[in-house]
Amino acid sequence: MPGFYVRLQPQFCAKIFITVSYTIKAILLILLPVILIESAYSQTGKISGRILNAYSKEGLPGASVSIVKLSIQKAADSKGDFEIPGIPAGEYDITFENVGYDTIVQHISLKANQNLKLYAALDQKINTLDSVTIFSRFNKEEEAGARQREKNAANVTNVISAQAMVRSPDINAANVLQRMSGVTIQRSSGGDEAYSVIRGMEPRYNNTLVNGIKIASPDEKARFVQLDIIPSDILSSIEISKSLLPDMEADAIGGTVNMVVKDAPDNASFKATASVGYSQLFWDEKYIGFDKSQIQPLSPIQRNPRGYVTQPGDFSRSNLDFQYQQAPPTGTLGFTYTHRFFKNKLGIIIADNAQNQYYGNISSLYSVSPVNEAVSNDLHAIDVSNYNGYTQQFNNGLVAHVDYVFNKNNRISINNVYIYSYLAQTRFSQDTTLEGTGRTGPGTGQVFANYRSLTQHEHIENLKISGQHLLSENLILDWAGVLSEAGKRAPDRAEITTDFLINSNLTRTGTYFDGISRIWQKNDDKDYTGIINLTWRTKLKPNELEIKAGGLYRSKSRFNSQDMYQLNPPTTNGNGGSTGGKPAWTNIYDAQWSVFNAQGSNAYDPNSYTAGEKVAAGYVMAKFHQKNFDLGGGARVENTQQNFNINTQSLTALTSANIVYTDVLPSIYLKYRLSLKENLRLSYFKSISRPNYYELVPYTIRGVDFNEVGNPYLKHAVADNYDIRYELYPKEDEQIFAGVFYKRIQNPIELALQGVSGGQIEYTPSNFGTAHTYGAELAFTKYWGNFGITGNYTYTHSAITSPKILYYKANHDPNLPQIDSLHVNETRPLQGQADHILNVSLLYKNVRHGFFAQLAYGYQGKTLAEVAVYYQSDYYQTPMSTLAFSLEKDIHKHFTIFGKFNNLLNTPTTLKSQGTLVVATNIYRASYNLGIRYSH
Amino acid sequence: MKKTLSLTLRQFTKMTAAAATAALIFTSCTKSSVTTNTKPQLPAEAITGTTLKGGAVKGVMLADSTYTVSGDITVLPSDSLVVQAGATINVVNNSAFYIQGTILSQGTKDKPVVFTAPVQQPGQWGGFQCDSAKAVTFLWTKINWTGGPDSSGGTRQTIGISSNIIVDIEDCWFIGGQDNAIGVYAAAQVTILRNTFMGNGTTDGDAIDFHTGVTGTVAYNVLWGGAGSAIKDYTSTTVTIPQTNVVVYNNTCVDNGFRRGAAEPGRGILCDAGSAGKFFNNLLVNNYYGLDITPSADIANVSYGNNFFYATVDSLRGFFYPPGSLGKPQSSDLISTATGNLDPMFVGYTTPPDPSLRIVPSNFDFHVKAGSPTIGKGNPTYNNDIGAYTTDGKGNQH
Repeated sequence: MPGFYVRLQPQFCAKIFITVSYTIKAILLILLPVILIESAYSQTGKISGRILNAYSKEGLPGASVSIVKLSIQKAADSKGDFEIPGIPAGEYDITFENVGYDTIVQHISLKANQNLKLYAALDQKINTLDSVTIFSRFNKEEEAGARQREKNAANVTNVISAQAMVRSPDINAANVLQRMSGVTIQRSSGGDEAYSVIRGMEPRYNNTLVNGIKIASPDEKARFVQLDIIPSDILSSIEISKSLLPDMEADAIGGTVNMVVKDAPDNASFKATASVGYSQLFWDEKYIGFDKSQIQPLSPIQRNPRGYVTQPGDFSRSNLDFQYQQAPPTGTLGFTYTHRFFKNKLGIIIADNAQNQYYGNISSLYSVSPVNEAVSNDLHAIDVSNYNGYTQQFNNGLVAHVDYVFNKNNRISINNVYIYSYLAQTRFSQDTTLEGTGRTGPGTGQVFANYRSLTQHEHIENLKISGQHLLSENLILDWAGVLSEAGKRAPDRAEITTDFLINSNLTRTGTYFDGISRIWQKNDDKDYTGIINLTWRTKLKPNELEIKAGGLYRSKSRFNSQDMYQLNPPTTNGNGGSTGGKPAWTNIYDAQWSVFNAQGSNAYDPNSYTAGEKVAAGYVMAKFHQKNFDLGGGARVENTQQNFNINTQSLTALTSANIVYTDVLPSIYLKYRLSLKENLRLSYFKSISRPNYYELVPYTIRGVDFNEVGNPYLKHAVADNYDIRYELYPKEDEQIFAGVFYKRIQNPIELALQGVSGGQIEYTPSNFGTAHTYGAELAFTKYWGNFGITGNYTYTHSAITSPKILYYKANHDPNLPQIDSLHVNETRPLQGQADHILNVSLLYKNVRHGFFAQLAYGYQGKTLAEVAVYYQSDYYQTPMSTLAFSLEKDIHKHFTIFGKFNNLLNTPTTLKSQGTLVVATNIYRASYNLGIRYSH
Repeated sequence: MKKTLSLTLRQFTKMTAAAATAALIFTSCTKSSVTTNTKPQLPAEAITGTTLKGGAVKGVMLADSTYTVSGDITVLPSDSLVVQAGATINVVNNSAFYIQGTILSQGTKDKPVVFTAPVQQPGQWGGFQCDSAKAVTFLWTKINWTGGPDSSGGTRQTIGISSNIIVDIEDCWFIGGQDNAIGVYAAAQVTILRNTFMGNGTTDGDAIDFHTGVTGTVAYNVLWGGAGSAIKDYTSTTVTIPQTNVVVYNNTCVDNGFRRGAAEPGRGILCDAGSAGKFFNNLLVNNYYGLDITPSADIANVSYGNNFFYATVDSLRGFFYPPGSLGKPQSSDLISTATGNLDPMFVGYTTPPDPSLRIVPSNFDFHVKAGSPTIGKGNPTYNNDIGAYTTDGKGNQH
């Protein structure tokens, strides 16, 4: 089954070829049979016990126990336990086997009515796989297997196993990733959407794969996938590739995140898990919800005949009727069922994990502007928006998999992953002017209160059909066809604005109804991908040469639609005459309004666009394997055609474009085996990053002071990447990695200050010459008996130069590269880069008592969160430490209870400009989860 | 259009006939005669079709002609649109003029240009969106009932400027727009003289809104019944250089600032965030706030005086200079202390203000009667009188 994957996960297939024919004799170590004699009254007895990993003492699920003499074979359950009753008394050879481990044969003598307990401790093979097989694998779900994959991969990778994820405090992919080496998680303000930053490279520079294939994005603007909607329980591992091989998709500069979904089972198993939890925030505060029953899935013009004139009554009210309530508990529920039928030819897996969470945030966001540009570039806050979010998020991940092994040379699989995420969010915000109209002193001024309700449904579906065929001793063909679909429906995002004024004598006016906006947004993203690879290899004893070639074609189409309505206080009164202006605000049911734009905004909305992308890629690569080293390399060619269509009201704006480019991307690597336990890796690869679909669309969004403008002339970024890594594997689940990297990025893309046109600052995605980034990484895992420590540290430095606003007369630095009287060039880190990242987990595991505990500490240094338009004023997230704790205990043969406790330090995020000026704060509070797992 | 064109032809025929007659007289001594006919001399780029369905338009809209505009008009960056005196343009389908080049509307006192809509209510069409215009000039032009939503549901100003150009708006009328009548969001150089603004802004919008870096003169305007402020002088807080610095004198501001509600009171004149300016000889009557020079204004570079404050609603009198702001009564000011005290003596006016009115009542006339206390009390640098209508005849001509 996993073999079925193999072709699609280049690092994995590389591993296989590395290990092929590199045989080291198996080492038999420990066999620990414990014999218990019970009273004997019948003619049969039974054997039971556990098959263990000799080193870690963890059970080996799916390992097999067989009695050749009786043609009995049985697979161990999810804990490695087995039981075979009804064995006639006698002498037998019992065989214990597991892929990747040495086989043990134990001779026993069984008496009638005896329950013979057997504990078989298997040793993992060192550089396993002494024969050519495309189907063998390591257990992806175990940490030890993860270490093996890192070790054997041709490229620079970090892998985390399902076992580690289950035991960690984390419940979704985003949380898991943030503990991995060199990764930080970038969250949108409010903390809902989470994307990975790898080695200081923003989400745009990374790609997200499911089972080695790029997936469609439910995001309406970007091409990347938010990770917080993916339950970690449906994953068997997450792999981050930090260097690319020619058979990997080339649009990753920071790295590739591959979420390996639970796949081909070796044996029958059933696991289930359930948990409940609560957020500290809702012990402290009430949750604010709203009624969803009247939300219209379609906008007024979408649900009415053409030419319909929208009426005030077309808009529901109850989704703006906010109710204080006690938040229900958070819950998760999941199961995994695996089985093999027809003499193990047919394997199936069904796994589902549902999470229903309630969380919130207490946040402040400040608008800042220069105090007096004629004198200095000091900034001050001119407006503060205090907002609280109350969010319900329901995530469900469903995995269905079928594979069929025709014979030892041919196998076909079908794998479908369906992820659904529902979000309902209330946001209350209060916007207070700190500087400007209406304010006469502290505590006075205009206050705008906003109340927003939002629901959205997102889905991602990835259907993959693939096959692997060993055509001859030397030739392997593998192929895959993938349909990936993603979308979002956000019907009727509704927001009321009301306002009041605090006078100079601190009296407060009444509250007035300012207006309501309603937005129906949806987007669909669909990819068809075909992949084919052909691998040829030969043994040049004792060496090996492998040549691989293949190609990929993907056609993507995207459809976005947005329809916005502005509801204003009524322009006419009940008698048809004009009204006297804004009415007092009482409540949503008494509010009266006129539909300001009865046609909606759909026809020309900047977020109504279609886009397409066709990628055709081909590659050739070769690898030479010798006892002490692997040397590999090759080149990939990717041809990209991007296009978009948008309706614009402006006669002169672009409405469509077709952008074509081709990249030739060489790569080369050397893996030198310093010893059996040590690797030294050197690699170079060239990779690209394509602009997001929306960035190319020539939209203009006019804000009060800022306009955001699309850029059809945006180029894709191209990077040269260099890596050196030393790896030491002292024991099978231990590791020490130390490495350095350097990247040179041409045409990096960032949202940039385009110019200042009058009072309007214009932002546009732009290319900025050449950026450089370098850094060092250290990762380690070490055990002392029951105690362990695992962690990683990454240092990153990057530099990019872009224009900033500075009134040059006020600045006396003659060395500053001046552009004009109002602009200078400033060199700064890449957006999203943190200087220091440290993760340390203390582990305690007692296999005998089935107890495991993990205390996870994370430190993220100063991070460039947002690039400001003013010189030396970028918004940095201040360094922060987080602490999480998890533990689990077996309470029964099949049951384990667990607890996951997150954000125990109640770590806020704080953004500052110019060192001390606070521009944003977010508080989330701790969350607690308790649960139970069943496995059989 | 056909009608007006035939009129022109008839006139032309008459003229040629007359000329021919004269020629006949002078040459009557000879027997030979030459009769010539030429076609009417239309401007080189005359727009002769009477219905414009949208798209790129350039050239000249002819004098005394009537046009219907039924789709968005764009004047491309290298093009000009000239509107001759007496032209009437009816705009339907919420269409707008997008000016990327130059617009010149050449109305005269006798023959104003009229841009209007068949339905005489706010929000019927999209006005002039001159975001990237090269030059904007409106003379003796009526622009009524604008402010229909743009394609993304946003409001549209009657004339919106977003580029650093020369803007000249003189002797025009702005009636019943839904949002700002003139909004300048760029470092433009403005001359806004002798215009009349009536009932602009539904629940928001200023008659004149300078948002950043604007320089120039605003004088002799009459501004009545706006939702927000009559004249707003503001410098973007994000881009403070260049700052807005305008001379605002001899404007008459009446009944402004009520439709936005008490939480956002409108002002007769607002000098806000980082702005400088000179504010003299303005007549401020029954506005929610009078002259507001806020704490964030560039007070060191603000000068003001000889402004006239009157209210017939007692509660408004406390906000002539709103408390907490930096503006303070000046010795040269005339500040009424009660209804009847320092009454500016408008020719026609009734009180109290009615915020729901969008069309000025026919009896309203903001000329001042002889003997008005506004006369002769102005700062002579600008005018000897206060208010838009002055005895020297330099003021508003409407």
